[in-house]
Amino acid sequence: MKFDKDSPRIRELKLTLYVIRKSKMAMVSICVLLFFFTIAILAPVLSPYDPTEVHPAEIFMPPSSKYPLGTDYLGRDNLSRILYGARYSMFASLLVVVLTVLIGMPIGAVSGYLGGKVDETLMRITDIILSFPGITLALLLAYVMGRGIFSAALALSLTGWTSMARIVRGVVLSEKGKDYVIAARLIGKNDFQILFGEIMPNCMYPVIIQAVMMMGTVIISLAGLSFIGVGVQPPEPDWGVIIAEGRQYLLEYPWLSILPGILMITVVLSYNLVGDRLRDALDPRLRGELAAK
Amino acid sequence: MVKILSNNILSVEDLHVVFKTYLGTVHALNGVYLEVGRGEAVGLVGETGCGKSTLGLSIVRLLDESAEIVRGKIFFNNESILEKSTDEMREIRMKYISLIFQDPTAALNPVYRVGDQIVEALQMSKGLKKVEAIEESAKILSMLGIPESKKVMEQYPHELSGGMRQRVMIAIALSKNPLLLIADEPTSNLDVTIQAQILELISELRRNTRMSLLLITHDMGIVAQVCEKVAVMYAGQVIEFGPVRAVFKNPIHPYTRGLLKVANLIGEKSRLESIQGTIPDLRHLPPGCLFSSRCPHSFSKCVQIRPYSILVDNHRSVACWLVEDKVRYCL
Amino acid sequence: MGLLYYILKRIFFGILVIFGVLTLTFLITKIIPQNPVAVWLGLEGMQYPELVKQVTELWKLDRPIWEQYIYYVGNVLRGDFGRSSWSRGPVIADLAARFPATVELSIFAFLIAMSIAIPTGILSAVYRDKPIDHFSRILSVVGISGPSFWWGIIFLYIFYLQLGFAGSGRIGEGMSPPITVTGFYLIDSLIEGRLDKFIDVLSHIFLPALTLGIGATGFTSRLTRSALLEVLRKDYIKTARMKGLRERVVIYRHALRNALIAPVTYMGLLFGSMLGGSVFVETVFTWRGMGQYIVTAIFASDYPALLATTLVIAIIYSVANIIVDLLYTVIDPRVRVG
Repeated sequence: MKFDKDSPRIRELKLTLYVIRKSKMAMVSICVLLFFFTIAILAPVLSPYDPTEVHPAEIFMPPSSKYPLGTDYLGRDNLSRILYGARYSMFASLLVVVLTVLIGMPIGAVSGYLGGKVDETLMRITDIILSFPGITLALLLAYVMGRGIFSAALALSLTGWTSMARIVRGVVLSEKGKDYVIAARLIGKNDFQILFGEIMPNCMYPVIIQAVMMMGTVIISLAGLSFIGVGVQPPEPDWGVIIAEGRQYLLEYPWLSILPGILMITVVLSYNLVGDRLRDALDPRLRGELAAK
Repeated sequence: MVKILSNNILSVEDLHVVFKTYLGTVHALNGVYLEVGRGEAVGLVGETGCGKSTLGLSIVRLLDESAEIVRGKIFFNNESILEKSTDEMREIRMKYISLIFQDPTAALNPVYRVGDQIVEALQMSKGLKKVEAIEESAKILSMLGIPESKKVMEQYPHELSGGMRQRVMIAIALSKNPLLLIADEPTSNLDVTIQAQILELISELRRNTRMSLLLITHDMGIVAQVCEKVAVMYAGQVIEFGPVRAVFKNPIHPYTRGLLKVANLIGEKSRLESIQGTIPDLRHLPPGCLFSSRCPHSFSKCVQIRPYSILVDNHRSVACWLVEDKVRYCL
Repeated sequence: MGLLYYILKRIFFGILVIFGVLTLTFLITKIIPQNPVAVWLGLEGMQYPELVKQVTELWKLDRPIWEQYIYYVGNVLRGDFGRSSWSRGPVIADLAARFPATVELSIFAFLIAMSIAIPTGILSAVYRDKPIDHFSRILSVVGISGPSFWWGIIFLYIFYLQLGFAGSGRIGEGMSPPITVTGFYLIDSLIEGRLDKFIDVLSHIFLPALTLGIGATGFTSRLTRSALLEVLRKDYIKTARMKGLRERVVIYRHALRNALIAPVTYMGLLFGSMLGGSVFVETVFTWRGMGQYIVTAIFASDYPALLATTLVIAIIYSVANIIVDLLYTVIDPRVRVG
């Protein structure tokens, strides 16, 4: 991959950034995401208390200068718990998506490039994994590997790579017959060089789009696993855990459950909006090839 | 405003169309002038992206939502198309103008049998009852050289060959006996023998019905074969217009000359030439002639002022400053 | 001929996938870091080697792995999913009661989701960039962005705790469940001829179904909108317009059927999302179905129950997918040849 100024890929990148910059919605979303990442990183600095520190004498305190968002059923500081909770939602989801790319991309690439029996086998495996609806398989795997955020993240990666693999496979399939691949073979490049040097760069954008679009789902799934009890384990503060705990006291203290959900929606919505815009930006028909008519 | 009734079925005056895209406004048509006489066949030629199809769709007002007609007039049968209400426009499409597309696969609804699609057109344009329409469409199909037309009518578009599909499209287009047929590259997706058959079919129908034809194509050979007049488009303008024979024999605009050389219709037929350069960025139009950047004869005026169409003799017009000088020179 | 071949091929393929699913769950039972015999017998029972040996042999755990696999598949085919290590009864008995609850909820949720999503998607596309479009798009994207269990809690708070609508369970506390015929309360109450029960059941299923379908609703609405807009740009729509058809006819006769192909292809997936989402929604609404059973099994460390339920859900999903694919051939004639 060459990075000279006029490389079509660089032009593509510039164009994409330009299209994204032109959308206020996408820019606001990116700022929101940066904001939440900052919170997640700075949680120890921003939090007034240790999120697991109980104050038995001060349970269900209303918001005050001592506890800006009040306390929960164990007298823990809600603000601190929510700030720390951002860490799981923001970073564990990132970990899952990175793992998904790392597992799915090579499998999809090899499957599409080699074709035949290898492809058939790998695709049947994805079929089987996709036969478990929603997060049921991830739930099972997470439980088998032992409760906790890492096994939850690993379980989601082990089930989520299939969509990534299929996308990469699709791109590889459509690219491998093209002239530049044949040319590369004629000058004596081996399969490895062709696949990873010539073909794979074309997967970059589809993979990025899919990764961004996945973030929202992964955040929801992780929170779901924590809500059920196989993800983040209490007393650690995760938004899913906080919602689950608040559910017990819904009538009297609904905000314990409502607030983390609103924050989660904000983050997921931002990812989805950025993803939508990214997809539109890379759709040649929407972008401006209309002039060709 | 009184418009003198002309013998033209279609006339387009100073038509400007823009597309709004993410990357800015694309000026697709930049002052198009075009006339199609009654019973006449006019070929509209030009490179991909010069606005041929946009012009065709503007005439029936079926441009996509991202497009906007900024300025200009279109007269069909001496009536202003752009001032018609939605219902009046529907009536015009229903009875008087037909459109054939480049890709018949995309132009036929994939989920309905082709028979139903022709029948629907007949029911609309001629107000036939369903049974009559079925008979009539079978008749039209066999007239178009389709054997076992009843059987074909039972099939879905994807079950037919490309040539067959285009015949079905033509059947739909002809079902209303249109005054004007706009055919947008009707043969470019077909192989050569089918291409010849379809063109022959269109010519023959024209002889029999006195229907006018606006044939959009990039193939000069087809124009020579089917049309009486030719309009050459470049960057959203008709830069040369006139009788096919006169234009092909003696092209005036440098672009037309280049185009004909590429098509190997004039000049030394030994080697293929191409026109240097590419179409200007239609988002940022230069003030002068849009062809000036590629024109071997351009001079300072060309870069500064956009040329308008000049009547050369009674039948021909050209938009080029070289001609103005020549005309003045002759005087 | 072509159609029949396609259907048979699809069914065969579906069965193949179900076997794959069986194999995967079998493999998971093998990697579970837990001795099923120990779970079954408990610490006390493990002190009797005779007993351990007896159970091990009974469950063929001393045999080679392929023999265990055949034994496992055979058991599942006979409907024997093992015994719950918590309730000690056969898992199949627990599932029999819970299976209809989940399927009823999922189907109802699916129907609600589709009957909201498709019309709003169409309206959104037809009145593009008008207020109704903005409204439905914002609602869709916010709906998708929230976790279903959270929406469930919000709905419970508003409709149950504040407004006093029916909140949890499948039927009001004062009423006895309808006599079991199909296991679907909505149908059984009608068979019993008790309209009051039917209405009560309906009022109970509505909130959880709405919650369960919220993601699918948003997704389908967006999908329908973009598919319809995409189709409206196609040449065959121009052909239809060139016939002088009214806009309404162009949209509903020519565009809609093509546009609906997109949501139909996703229907299997969406139904799956209902089955998967039941884990959360049933927990929030104390709906005694398979989803809630899974959560209970997790807290009780009840592996046989957990595995069996997951397997059954996957099988339902596979069957639903086959049905959707067959439905797809009806709506899109192009599939019938391939």
